[in-house]
Amino acid sequence: MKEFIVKNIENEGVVAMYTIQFSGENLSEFEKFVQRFKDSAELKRDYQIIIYALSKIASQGALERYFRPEGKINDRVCALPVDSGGLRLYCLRITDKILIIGNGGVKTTRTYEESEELLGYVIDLQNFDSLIKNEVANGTLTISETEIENITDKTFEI
Amino acid sequence: MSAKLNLQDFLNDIPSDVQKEVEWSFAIADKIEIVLQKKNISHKELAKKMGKTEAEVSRWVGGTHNFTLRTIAKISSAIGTDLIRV
Repeated sequence: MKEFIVKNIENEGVVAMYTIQFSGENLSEFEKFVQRFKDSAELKRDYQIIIYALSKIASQGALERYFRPEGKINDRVCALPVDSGGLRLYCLRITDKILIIGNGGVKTTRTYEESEELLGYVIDLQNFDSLIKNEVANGTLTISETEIENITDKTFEI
Repeated sequence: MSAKLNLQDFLNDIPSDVQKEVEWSFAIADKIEIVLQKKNISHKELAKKMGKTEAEVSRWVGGTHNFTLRTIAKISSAIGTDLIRV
């Protein structure tokens, strides 16, 4: 089992953005993505496109069409892709106004399942998605129109 | 990095040409989607009309597509609305 907390990514837009941080780690999953690609010789521009696209999404809404479905049909895992390249940032699109941002990497295989690294990121988000659904169903977590109430006060295990 | 995360902190180093590329890509994507909705044309219908796949239309309206002038001209013709003005 992996223990983690949820951190808010403050922004001036209309979308509540969160990321997750595993126990014992200094950086959240989103920060790990940033650290890995912000100075990459090959992928810096693709990284910058993804980060700036996030700011557009923050201001316009996490609309379904801005993301590519990446998980299974019954989960909310999706990827923010750069169309011209293989860099992907994996997310849980809860609603048009609530987005949980995970880690990401370069998709060099036909599907994410063929990459051990990308599969790991997707599975973490799939498991968290299931957990959220269960907690919402049993009333321990509440999703409002603009946020997941008190999610940053809790510790989760997947 | 600080314990508190703010999206703005990650945007400070994004060059203006990248910002323009994404701004324009989102603007074109949003305009395609608005025209399609206004004219009640589905992605599937547009794809069929242009001899493309629905996946390709999804990429156009996704906000991070690197459009060529040729693609913009073809989409503009297909939907009957100029996507850009020079």
